[in-house]
Amino acid sequence: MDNGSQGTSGIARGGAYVAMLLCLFLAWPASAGRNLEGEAAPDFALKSLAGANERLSEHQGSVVVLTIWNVRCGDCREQLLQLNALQTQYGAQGLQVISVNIDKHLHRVEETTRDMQLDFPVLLDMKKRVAKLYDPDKLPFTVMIDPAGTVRHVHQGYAGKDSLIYTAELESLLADFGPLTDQG
Amino acid sequence: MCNKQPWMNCRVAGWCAALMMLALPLAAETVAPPADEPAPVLDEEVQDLKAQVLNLNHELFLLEEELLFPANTQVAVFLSMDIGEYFDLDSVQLKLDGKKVSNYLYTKREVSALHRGGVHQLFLGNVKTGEHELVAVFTGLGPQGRQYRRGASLNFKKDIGAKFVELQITDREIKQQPEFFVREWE
Repeated sequence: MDNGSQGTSGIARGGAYVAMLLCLFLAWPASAGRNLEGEAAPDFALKSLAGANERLSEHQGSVVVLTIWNVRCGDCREQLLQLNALQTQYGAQGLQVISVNIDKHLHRVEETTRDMQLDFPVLLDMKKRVAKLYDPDKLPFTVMIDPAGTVRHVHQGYAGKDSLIYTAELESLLADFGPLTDQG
Repeated sequence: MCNKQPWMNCRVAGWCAALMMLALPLAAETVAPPADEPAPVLDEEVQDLKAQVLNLNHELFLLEEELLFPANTQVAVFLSMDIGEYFDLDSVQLKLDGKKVSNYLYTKREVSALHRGGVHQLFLGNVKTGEHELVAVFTGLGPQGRQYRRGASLNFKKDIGAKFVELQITDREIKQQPEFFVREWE
C-alpha cells in the first residue's frame, strides 16, 4: 500500500473521531438539571418555619406541589401567592403545596412570608440538601407529584402565564386520582 | 431473484406466502378474546399480576439487602421509645467510629408511631470485625418544653454475624427526666 492511501485512511479515521465527538456533544443534555418526570419524587425531611418536621412521603395520597425558592427571587414570591390561592381552592380536594426555602438566614424568610399568610408549610433547607436532590436549574423550581409519589410535571422558573398551566395540570391530576367537586 | 436461488422453487414460495397471508387473520381471531368475555376475569388476572409483581419486588428487596449488607459485616441500629412523656423527640444524630452516618428528623406521625410501640430502623450499614464506638445524640424538647440535647454511646465488638443495636428513650419517673440507653441485642 502506498503512502497516499495511508494518508487518506488517516484522514478518514480522524474524521470519524471528530464525527463521534460531535455526536456525543449533541447527545449531551443541554441542561444539567435532572429530568424527574415519571420518577419517584426523592424523599426528604426538613424542619418547617412553624417548627414541626415535615417528610414529603407522608403526603402520599395527596397531589403535592413542591416548590424550591429563595427570598431574592421576585418570581418566587409571585408564585408563592398563586400557590396559596391554589391551596385555598383545591386543598379540600386533596392538594398539598409544600415550599422549600434555600436561604441561609432565617429572619429573611420570616420577613418575606409574614405578610403573605401562606396556608402551606415553608420548609427550611439552609444546607441545600433538598436542592441537591432535585438539582434545579432555575428558581422557583416546581414539581407536581401524584398521590402515588411520582413526579408528573416539572417547571423551571415562573411567569404570570404559568398560573393557567398550573391550574390545568392540577385539575387533570386531581381528576385522575379523585373526582373534582363542582367549584360553583 | 428467483433465478439466483435454484434451491427454492418460486411457485412453491408464492403459494407459501399466500397461505401465510390467509392464515394470519385466522390466527389473530383465535388469539383475541371473545368480546363478550366477562370483565371480572380480566380484573382477577390483573390483580394476580399485581400480587406477583409485589412478591417479586419484595424478593428483590431482600436480595439487595443480602448483597449490600452481608451478615458478616452488617450492623443495624434501631430506635424505640417507652412512654416518652418527658421528651418530645425531634432528631437523632448517629456517629459510628467518629463518622456521622445518620441524622434523622422525626415527624409528629413518626413520634406517635414510636409512642405506640413502633421500632424504627435508624441505620443499616457495614463494619469490619473488631471494636467500634457508636455515639447517638438525641435532640428535642425536654420537661417544661425546654430544648434538650443528650448523648449516649456504646463500645461494641463486631464478631462474625450481624450486629443489632437498640437506642431506647425511656422516662425516669423519680427524676422526672428522660433517659437514653444504647444496648446490643443478644
